[in-house]
Amino acid sequence: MHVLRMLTCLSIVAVGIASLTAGTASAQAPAAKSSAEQAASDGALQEAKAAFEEAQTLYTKDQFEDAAAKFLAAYDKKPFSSFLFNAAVAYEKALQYQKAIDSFQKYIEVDTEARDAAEVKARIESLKGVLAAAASKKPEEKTAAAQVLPAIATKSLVIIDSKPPGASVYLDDKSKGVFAVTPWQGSLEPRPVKLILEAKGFKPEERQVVPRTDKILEVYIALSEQHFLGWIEVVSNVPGADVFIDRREIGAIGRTPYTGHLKPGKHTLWVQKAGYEPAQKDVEVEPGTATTHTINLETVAYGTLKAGSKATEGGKLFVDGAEVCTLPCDQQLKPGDHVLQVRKDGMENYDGKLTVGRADFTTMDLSYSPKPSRSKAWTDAVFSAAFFAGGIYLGVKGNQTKDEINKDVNDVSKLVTTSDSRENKGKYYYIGADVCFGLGVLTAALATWNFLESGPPSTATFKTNNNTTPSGTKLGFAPMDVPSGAGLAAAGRF
Amino acid sequence: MRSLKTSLLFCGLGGLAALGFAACNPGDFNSILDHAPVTITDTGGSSTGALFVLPLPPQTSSTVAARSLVTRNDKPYVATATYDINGKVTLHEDSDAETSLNLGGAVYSSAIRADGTILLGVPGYPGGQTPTGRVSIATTTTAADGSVKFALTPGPMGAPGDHLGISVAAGNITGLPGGDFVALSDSTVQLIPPSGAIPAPLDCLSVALKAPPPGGNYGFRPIAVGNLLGDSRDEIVLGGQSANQGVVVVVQYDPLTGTLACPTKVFSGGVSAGFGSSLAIADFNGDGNLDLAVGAPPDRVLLYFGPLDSVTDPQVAISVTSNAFGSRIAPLPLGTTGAAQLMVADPGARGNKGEIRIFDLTHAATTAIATLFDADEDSDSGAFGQSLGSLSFEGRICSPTAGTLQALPFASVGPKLLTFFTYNVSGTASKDPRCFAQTK
Repeated sequence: MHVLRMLTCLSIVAVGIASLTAGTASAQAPAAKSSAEQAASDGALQEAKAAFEEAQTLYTKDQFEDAAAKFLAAYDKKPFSSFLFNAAVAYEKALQYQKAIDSFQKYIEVDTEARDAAEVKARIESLKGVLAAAASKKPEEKTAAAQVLPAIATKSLVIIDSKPPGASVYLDDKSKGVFAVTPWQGSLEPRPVKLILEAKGFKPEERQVVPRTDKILEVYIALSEQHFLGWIEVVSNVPGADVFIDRREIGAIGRTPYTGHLKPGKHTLWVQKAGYEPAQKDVEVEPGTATTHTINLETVAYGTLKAGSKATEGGKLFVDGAEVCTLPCDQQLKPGDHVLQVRKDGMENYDGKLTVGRADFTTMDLSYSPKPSRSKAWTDAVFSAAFFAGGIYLGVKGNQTKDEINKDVNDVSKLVTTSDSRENKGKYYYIGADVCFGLGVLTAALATWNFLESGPPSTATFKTNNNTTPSGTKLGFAPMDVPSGAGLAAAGRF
Repeated sequence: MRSLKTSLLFCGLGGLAALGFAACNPGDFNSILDHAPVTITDTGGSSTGALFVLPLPPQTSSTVAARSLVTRNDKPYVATATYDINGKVTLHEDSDAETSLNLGGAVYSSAIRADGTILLGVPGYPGGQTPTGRVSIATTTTAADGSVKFALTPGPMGAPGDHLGISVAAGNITGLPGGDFVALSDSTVQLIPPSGAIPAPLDCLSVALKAPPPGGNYGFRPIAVGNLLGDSRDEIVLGGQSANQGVVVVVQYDPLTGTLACPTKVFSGGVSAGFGSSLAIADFNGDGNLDLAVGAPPDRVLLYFGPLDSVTDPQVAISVTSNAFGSRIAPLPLGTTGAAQLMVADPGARGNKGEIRIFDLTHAATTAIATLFDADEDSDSGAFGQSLGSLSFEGRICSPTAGTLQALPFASVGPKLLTFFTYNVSGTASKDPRCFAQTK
């Protein structure tokens, strides 16, 4: 399918080279197709463009149903899937939900690799729901029901082609990796963007373009051959790893699988990715040759704990009982189970466990819990001491009173009576002492409780990523061109 | 570990508190005064009225050691105080006697005959501006707890405003079986024989009862009964006055006329107006004959040793520099030698808080052997020694040093009755002499 579309696109863009791309493209290489084919293709494309632009004009005038018809007419001329998408949007605006659903459905059927397939499917379901809910309602209620759908707009259409086809397309710079392979048609954000096209054995080309939603943007670049450079391909067992050539300090020049030209001579290649040990390889590039360099990465033998943040700085991180760093910090940990503790003055400790795997990158989001104030405990303690002191004082006074009474009772010259007021006085001393002792114990218990009282423990949440684990399984094919011929390049991620 | 430390801390605190509680047990004071020298019986209230205490005969009980009748001169009040063999005193108030028996006023005086009949003097009866006064004869029944219930028979009344019953006494005056009562009013002496007609009051111009001291509602008129003349009957001894001088007259019963005869013997003392302010009859010198003690406040007590047939002057004069010495006197029969000691109240002593001095006259000594006072005098109200006397224990409470105790002194202060179980006696041990192991 891709190949068919590629051929189709080639036939389309062959006509538009001179008029729609930079002059350098047409000057550098002759068109690959015959004049008759170019004329046929040019006529259909021009009609499609005219219909598209007319549809966009009607759309901006809120004549959605007519706009949708024009988008479909454009699609009849040139089967670009964006036309179907735009027709569906126009139908939706015209409240023709069933037609909108049909157009969206056709869009994802035609463009099996549509990047927004998931969103379009969700849109279809939403429209079906609106359609069902509004089945028995009046038109104005349908309008109201449609208001609940998220906003949606028509797409721009960008067509990128090259000679030879199969060139890698980069957006802005190569560090982001290959964006597409020519020929490509699709939608881009309506902002200035630099296109970089690169093919083995050809000199790379760059174009600055500005996609528009009301115009079809056609880009055709004819690449010139470069026989004095060498072509390398850097592949790895880890897709998406950063590729450095000769000077690591200037940053990565691309990601695996990486392809590009290099001056002849000795070069040093580095491949690295978080979670893997960096790998290095020295290569010799011969002019006009194409070589593939496989640099496999091994996962690191440790996990990394990113502990805390600016908000939690100052805490001491203990791993397996040993202090290792002060938050925030990154700490390498051996794979296995670890006991973690974070201590900070005035805060409750965090205690927890963490299982670390090789190449795990774990983020520890810590939340401190303040320790309760001890002022109440100190107040209780002071009261307790005062009560005990009072109890001791009153007890001593009671003892003195008792001794005095006993002494006087035995001294008959004092003629102490059975109703001696000191009896009650002594009782009151002892009762007071007992009350003080009781209150002393009570307040001491309260003080103890308040001293030992802890607040809720500090908590932490962990989020672990392992960059060595693929997030999904994807298998893709892309056309490639090598000096010895053409074919399909397969890239798989599992 | 943390919980262990907490537990240990709480255990420590609990132990500390337990030690504190054990060391400061208020119950330690509950019995600390059980062996205090002086037992207090409080009739309650804040009245400044005085008590009159009449010792009652011991009853045949293994637990009651002594009893006394307690009345107050500020309100109708009748109670019995019982002392158990451990010396603990319990006051049994007889509210029935106070109300249903229609005392008609406060009891100022009381006396008990040999047969146990009690005479109560109510000089304020029936109230108003000119009360006649009345005496009532009370018979008693004793409950199991030692309290006494009274059955009252109203007796004679006096003339309006004459306050019959201001003082009463008992003895064998007529020689009739059962004994007699004598009741004083402001102006008369009324003899009340055990049965039959009550004779006319003493009508003798030569007798002028001693005027009551100022300050009291009805005052106090001294009277004593005893066989001082060596005959077979008791004589009535009255404190009187003549020409502003104190006198003491001895009145006898004339069996021929059946009335009281004019005095045949008068002691003038010749010393002061206070002579005769208080009287006491007992064998003070231990010769087997009753003797007469006469209080002559402010500073003297004179002793006339019986028989008094030929006695005109006191044989012993006790003199103490004071302003009220001798206001009240009473015998203190100890029961061991047969002699009685003499208790002399001195309300002016100790800064007018009052004290009682005890004299042993067996050797004509004029120095007090002991002094009693109110240890709580700073907080108590009333004069110490307003009423004084002795309680008979008949050996139911023993003393390791003095053998079985026959009698203990008591004195009142305001509404309180103080019983002195032990006190410092010159030349004797000051250790608590009480012994509660022996019962009778």
